[in-house]
Parts: sequence; C-alpha cells; structure tokens
Amino acid sequence: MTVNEILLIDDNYIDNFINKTILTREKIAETITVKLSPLEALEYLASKTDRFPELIFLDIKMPQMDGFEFLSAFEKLSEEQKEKCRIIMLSSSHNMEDIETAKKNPYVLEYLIKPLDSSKLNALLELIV
Amino acid sequence: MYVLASILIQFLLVSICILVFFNLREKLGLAPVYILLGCLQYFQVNLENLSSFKFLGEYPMYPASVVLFSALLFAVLLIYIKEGVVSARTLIIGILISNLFLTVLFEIISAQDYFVRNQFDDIDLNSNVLFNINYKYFIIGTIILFVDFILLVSIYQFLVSKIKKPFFFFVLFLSLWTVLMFDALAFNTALFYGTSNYAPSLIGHIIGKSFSALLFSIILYIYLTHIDKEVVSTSFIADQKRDIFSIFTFRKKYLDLKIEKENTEKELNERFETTLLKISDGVVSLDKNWCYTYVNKNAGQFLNREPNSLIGKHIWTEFPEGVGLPFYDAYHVAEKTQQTQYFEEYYEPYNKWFENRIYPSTEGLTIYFSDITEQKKAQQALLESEAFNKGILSSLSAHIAVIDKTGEILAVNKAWDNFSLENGEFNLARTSVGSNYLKECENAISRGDALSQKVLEGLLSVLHKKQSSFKMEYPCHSPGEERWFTLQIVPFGNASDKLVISHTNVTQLKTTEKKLEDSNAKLKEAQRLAKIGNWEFNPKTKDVFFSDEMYNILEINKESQDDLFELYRSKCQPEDFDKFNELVNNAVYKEEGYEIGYYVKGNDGTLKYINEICEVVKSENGKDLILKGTIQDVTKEKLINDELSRKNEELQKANIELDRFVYSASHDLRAPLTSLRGLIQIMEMILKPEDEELKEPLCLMSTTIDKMDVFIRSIFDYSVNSRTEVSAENINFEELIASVWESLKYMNINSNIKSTINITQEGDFYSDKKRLEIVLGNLVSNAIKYYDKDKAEHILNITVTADKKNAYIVIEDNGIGIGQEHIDKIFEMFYRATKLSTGSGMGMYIVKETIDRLNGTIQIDSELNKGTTFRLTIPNSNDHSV
Repeated sequence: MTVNEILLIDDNYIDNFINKTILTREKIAETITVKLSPLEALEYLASKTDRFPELIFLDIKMPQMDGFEFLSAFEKLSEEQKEKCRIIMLSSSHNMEDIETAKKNPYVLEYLIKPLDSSKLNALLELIV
Repeated sequence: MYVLASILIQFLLVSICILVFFNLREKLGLAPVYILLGCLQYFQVNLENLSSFKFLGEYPMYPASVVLFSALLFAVLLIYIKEGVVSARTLIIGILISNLFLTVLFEIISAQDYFVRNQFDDIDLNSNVLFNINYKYFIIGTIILFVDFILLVSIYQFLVSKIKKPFFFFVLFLSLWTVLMFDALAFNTALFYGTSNYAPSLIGHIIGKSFSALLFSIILYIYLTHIDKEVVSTSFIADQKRDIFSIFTFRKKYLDLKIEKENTEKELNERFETTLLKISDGVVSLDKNWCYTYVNKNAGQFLNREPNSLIGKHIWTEFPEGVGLPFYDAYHVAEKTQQTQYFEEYYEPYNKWFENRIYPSTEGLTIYFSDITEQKKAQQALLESEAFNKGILSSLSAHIAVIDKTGEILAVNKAWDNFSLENGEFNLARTSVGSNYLKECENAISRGDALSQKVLEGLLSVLHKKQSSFKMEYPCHSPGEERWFTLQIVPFGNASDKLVISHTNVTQLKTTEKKLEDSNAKLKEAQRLAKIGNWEFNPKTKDVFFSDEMYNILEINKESQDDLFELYRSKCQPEDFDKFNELVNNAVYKEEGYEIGYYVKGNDGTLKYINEICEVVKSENGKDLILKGTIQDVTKEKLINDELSRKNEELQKANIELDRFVYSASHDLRAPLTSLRGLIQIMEMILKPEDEELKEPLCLMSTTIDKMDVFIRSIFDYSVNSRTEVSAENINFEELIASVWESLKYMNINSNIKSTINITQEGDFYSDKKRLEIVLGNLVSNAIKYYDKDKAEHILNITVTADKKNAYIVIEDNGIGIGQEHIDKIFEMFYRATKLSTGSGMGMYIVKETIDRLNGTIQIDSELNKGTTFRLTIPNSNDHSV
C-alpha cells in the first residue's frame, strides 16, 4: 500500500536520513516531508490547506518541544484535516512510562523503538491496513 | 278620796302578798300562792253583793271585786311566765274545783241553816248573807274565769312571740287588759244584757278593769324585770319564744319528750356499747359464778364466739382448755385478793399473744384483753435487730468502744477486745467495759507516751464539743511488722454525751499510699529526666493542672498566684492562639486527641520547641470533657529533625536531578547507538553482492551496539532500583505479564518461542510494579535470548500464583541452561555465565538486588542443555507499605 504523504519529525539528522531511506526503499509514500523540530512541523501543518499527511513519525526527545508536547498541540488542530492522520512514535527510549503515555494518546497508532527497519515497517503497515 | 286610797292599799296588799308568796316558791312551793288565790277567788265571789259606788255618778263600780279578780289573772300570768302552763293550769283547775266544792258546801250549809231556822223561829232569816250565793252569777263567773285563763295565756304567748323584748311592758299590759276587757264584756253580757243596767255596768267594769290592768301590768313588769330576773329554765312552756299553740299540744310534747328521752338514753347506751365494741380490747365481765354477763365484739372475735351466745354461760365449761393456764390462776387470784391483775400471755391455740387486765369488783370480774401479737413481734424484731447490730459490730475489723463523759468504757466490740488480748492485755482490766479510758490515757502520759497526750486532747475537745470529731493517724509497730492505725472519736448520736472511739488498721492503706508516693516520685524523676510534663485542662472551667516538670519546661514559678492558664498562654506565641483554640474545640467536639508541636518562649528569650500530645477523657463526674496530655521539650530533637528534613529535601532534589540525568544520559547514550544500528542496516541493504567481505565487520558492529545498548539499559534499571522508594500498587498479573511481553517486542529480540502463561490471582496483590517489570523483563528476556538452537521447540512457561500473602512466580524454559559451576555466581555483578552472552553481566545482579528490595526470594534450578527454572516468592504488601 502507499500513502500520499509521510511526515518525519526528528531533530536527529542521521535518524531522519535512516528513516527516509527505509521509507523510500519500501516505496510506501509519494512524498516524505522531514521536519527537524515539532515547531516546524506544526507550522507546516498549519500551512496545509488540504489533508494532513497520513502518517507522522514522531520522536520524543527533542529540544524546545518534545514529542508529547507536539501531541498536545496536535490535538487542537482541525478535526477534518486530522481525520486520516495517524501518528507513530519512533524513539530510542525503552522507558515504560514513555511507552504507556504514548499508547494512551488517541492519535498514536504505534510506538516503535529505533532504528526503523523493514520488518518493523511491514508490521506497522499490516496494522494500518 | 278615801275610796281611792283604800282601793290603792288593797291593790298593794294583794299584789305584794302574791309576789311575796311567789318569791318564796323555792322554799315553800307554790301551794301558799294557790291557797291565797283560792281564798281571793272565794272572797271575790262573795263580794259581788257588796256595795258599789257610782263612778262619775252614773257607772257602778265594784272596786274590791275588780281588784281581786284582776289580781287573780295577774297571778295566773305571773305563774305562767315564771313556772309554765302546768302550774298555771293547776292553779286554775284548783280554783275551779274548789269553787264548785265550796258552792256545794254553801248549799248544804244554807239548807242546814234553813232547817235550824225552821226549828228555832227566833232566828232572823236574813241575819247571815254570807252563805247566800247568786248561782247564776257564780257559775258564769267561774266559766268565764276558765275562758279568761286560756285567753290570757294564748294572748300573752302570741304577743311575746310577735313583739320585741323592749316592749315587754306592753305585752303584759295588753294581755291583761284584753282579757279583762273580754271578761267585762262577757260577764256583763251574760248577766245584764237587755236590762237597763247593762251599759252602765259594762262601762263601769271597763273603766275599773282598765285601771287595774294598768296597775297590775306596772307591778308585774317591775317584778319581772327588776326583782325576779332569774332566767327561766325550769319548763319548756316558759320559753318566751314558744309558739302559742304548743300549750294545746303540750301533752303530745310531753310524750314526745319522753320518747326523745328514751331514745337518747337508748342512744347513749348504744354508744356506750359501741365504744365497748369498738375499743380494740376484748372486754368480758364475769359474775361471781364465773358466768359471762358481758362480752364485747372484739372479745367474741378473740374467743372465736358470738358474744351473745356466751352471755350467761360458765366460762370454764365453755373454755375448759383454759383451766390451769396462767390466766385461769390470775382470774382466781384477782377474785380472791380483789386486786387488779395484769399479765401477758401466749395463747397457743390461737398462736397469739394477749395482754390481760383483770379488774375485780364485788359483782365479779371485768377482764380487758388485747391482742399484742404485733407488738410482741415488733419487740422480737427489735431484739433481733439489736442482736444483728451487735453481730455487725462484732464483725467489724475496726476496734470500737463507747465511753461516757467520765471516760468509762460502756461497750466494746470483739475486735477491740481481741486487739487488747493480742497486745498482752490478758484480763482486759485496763481496756474493756468498766475501765476508764481517760484514766488509762493519763496513765500512759505519765509513762511518757506522747501519743496518748494527743489522744487525750482530742477526746476532751470532742467531749467539750469544741470540735465535732477527732481523727488521728498513728504508728503502732509491733516487733514483726509496721502497723498504722487511724483513731477516730465521734459523738454517739446527736444528743448524747457518749463518745465512740474507733481504731482502724490502715497499714494497707498506708503501704499503698507510700508506694503511690514512691511511684509518684519516680514518675516525677522520670518526667524530669525525659523533660516530659503532664497536664490536665478543663475547657469549660479553664481549670488547669500541671505536673512539676510542666513548670520547669515552661519556666513558670510554681509558687506564682497568677492564673495558671494565663501564665501558660503568656509563654506561647500569640500567633499560635487561633490554632490552639481550633485544636481544643475540635478535640472536644470530636472527643479525639491530637499531637502538635509549637514554640514557647523561655525566660531568657530563647525559643523552646514543645511536642504536645493530648487525649480527651470524661471527667470523674462524667459530665465534662477533660483534656489530658503531656508536653515534652524536644528543642534538640527539633533542631536535628529540621536539619534532617532539610538534608532530606536536598537529597530528594538531588535524586530527582539524578533521575533526570540518568534518563537523559541513557537516552543520549542510546540515541547514537540506535542511529548507528540504523545506518548499519542501511549499509547492509545497499551492500552489493561483490562487497561480501564487508558483511562480517558490519555484523560485528551491530553486535557491539546491542551489547552497549543492553548495558546502558541495565545501568538505568540498576539506578531505578537502587534510588527509588519501593512503592505498593495494586498489581494485576495478567496486565503485568502482558506489559512485560509488550516491552520485549521493542528489544529487537526475535525468537519463535512457544509460551504458556498461567495466572491464578486471589484478591488484591500489592507490590512495586516498576521493580516487578525489571525482574520479569530480565528473566523473560534471558529465557528468550538463550534458547537452545538444537531443540526443535523453544518453550517458555510462566506460572503466577498470587494469594493474600505471596505471589509465587515460576519461569521455566528449555533453553541452554546454566552450568552448575556458574549457578552460585550468576547474581554477581558483571558475571557472565556463558560465552553466548551478549550482556554486560548486570541483568541477574539487578534481578537479585530488586527482589531483595521487594523482600522476596529467588531460587534457580538449571541444567546445562536442558533448561532453567526460576522460582520467585514476592510478598504481598497489602499494608500498602514495605
């Protein structure tokens, strides 16, 4: 399956590179947008007039605004635009608290631990379908 | 003139004569008056033919006749008034009868005279006129007299009942005058009606009789009101207020009276009888022949007989069982000696006590007997009660004696004597009844006994009523033991000059008192050492009690006269007052104590920190609530505590910072590793077949990264276990295992493991969830990681059994197992049991450490190439704290 757009939010350039490479190789999205901070991502989303990206990969630990803060801000966005938008937490944290907090959020579809690889991605795609 | 004078003299003579005789009636009776009046009547009748004089030359008057006739009625009235109708009637009837008799006598004498004259012619026929009676005249006069009498009495009685007493004269006059007028009219009408004599004679009579009525009325009035004032009482007829008609019915009255008298007598008799019957005594009378002449009702009841049935019966025939008994003898003694006998006796047939009084007389015996069974019973009860009191007195352990005002011992109880005996007073001569307590005291004083001096003073002061009682405690040690006594001297009753002396052994009390004193002293000492003071406070009355140490702690002068409560408040910080008030109100309202710490100001201005504990109790009377509590000077401890909590706060802060540091460090350390791993993956993806030789180093890089990652996570777990407090949350093992299983998914561990999970949980189980996750996570991940490649199936069984006390967790695998030589060491830090290990040797160490923190145990059964079983026991922290 493919989606129109995937948004990657991560401050780490390497991780963005890895994720983009994997996603590109798997060819599941027409566009892959990368934002280095949640603020930029929110700006980007706010500027969007049509639907949001179908998938957002969100890191947790980031400067200025972390993943959870982004989730709170995301909640306030237009329901219509959010309608088909799913968020996947993608973090290196094993911390149970982080995992549980993320899973409680209604917009979060899955919590993945870095690095993203094709097997994890395939499992995720199965979930979406 | 002479005529008038002679008439007046006649008036006076006749009336005085009547009144004198009448006045002497007490001595002579009424007979002289009757005779006098009879004579007067006779005289008057014969005066009819006497000469008359013509009043005013026209009306014939017969003064003598008028006076005498009037006098007769006057007397009748007098007798009626003073002596009653019977006497008056007697007079009238007497006069009538004697008149008739005289008339007959006159006729005989006239006949006699006639015959004599006929025989002796020389006698003048008309020489004697005395015996020549005008019958018509006489009979009419007599009849009228009788009518006059009835009329007079009737009129008088009528007037007397109608006219008031001050007009008594008119009553008399009117009575006399009316009757005389009637008499004049009747007499003249009867004799002269139709003759020329009639009118003048009538007028003459009226004038004369009116005059005489007036005169006699005056005389009678004077006599009755001034001379004979004796109150009329002899006859009911004389009662001035009697109805006039009573004179006609007097006979009936007399009969009535007689009946009345009889009734009264009968009533009196009955009353006497009733009295005899009613007195609770039984009364019997016996005649000389021992026969009953009288038995009253009570006696009948006592004897169980009808009183009348006994009358006339012989006592000893009726009551043969009495013969020979004491009362039989007593009756005979009374009869013989004629002296009153008195005795009490129990009469068995009736089960009763009788008191007998026997009064002899010449006619026989009169015996009064009364049932005194109740009295006897009361007496008996009194005796018993006395015995009872004596018994009580004897049973008292106090030594009791009663003395009189001279000091003589009147009575003692058993304990008193016993004590004397115990103390060597063998014959009790100095201490028991009859000896003199005052003297014994004086003797003892003379022997130099100071105690006796005090006793004597006390005794005398009570005896002389200087004080109402005297009490003294004194030691009386015997060689064997210490003894204490209390001496008490009190008056015997209210109005008595006797005294009661009691000695009570109070050794036990004294010992207890001493012990109490000791323990009080110890308590004080303990309070002083511990700097604890105890207090009581009544919020209603604001009454305060402080123990000694309270004064020391609060630095209040114990001798101060100021209000203790105010003194205490002055030591406290004013800003605390509101808090205190609320605390006290709340304590009283909820009946619940409190604990509070606060500062008080010492005299040198330094602050002391006080810890106060209070509880609420009911006052002794059960009405008020009283606060009781302690205060302790904990200034030192407070300082230490304050320092401690400051340090603790710092430590907590440091811990939180460390937590944050560990979290971010582990993240920051791991983030590059995950990036590296991602990059290696990409490299592996884009590796061309010809670059075969690069595969090996890339794989090794990946393994190194994994090792590093596990190590960092272990350090993180370790830091979590060692630093954080053990918490107790409600654990649901289903969820817990699921969560552990979930987390393994993120661990890049892949294995086709066949797992079975059995969970049996009874009731709530409390433990530290995070730590259990660390333990189970490590053990389960090990079981997965170290699977045996040689085995077709990889098995993992997790069994949890949780109850109120413990959770038993068994984790069993068929992995590579651990060699026996390693089993003891696997829990050591950095120890690695297999070369297959990718770990750092931290995992099992952390498991052991964590289980220790949970107060649990872990057992391991393992065999190389066969598998490993871990058995965990984790206690249930259902008191919510570990």
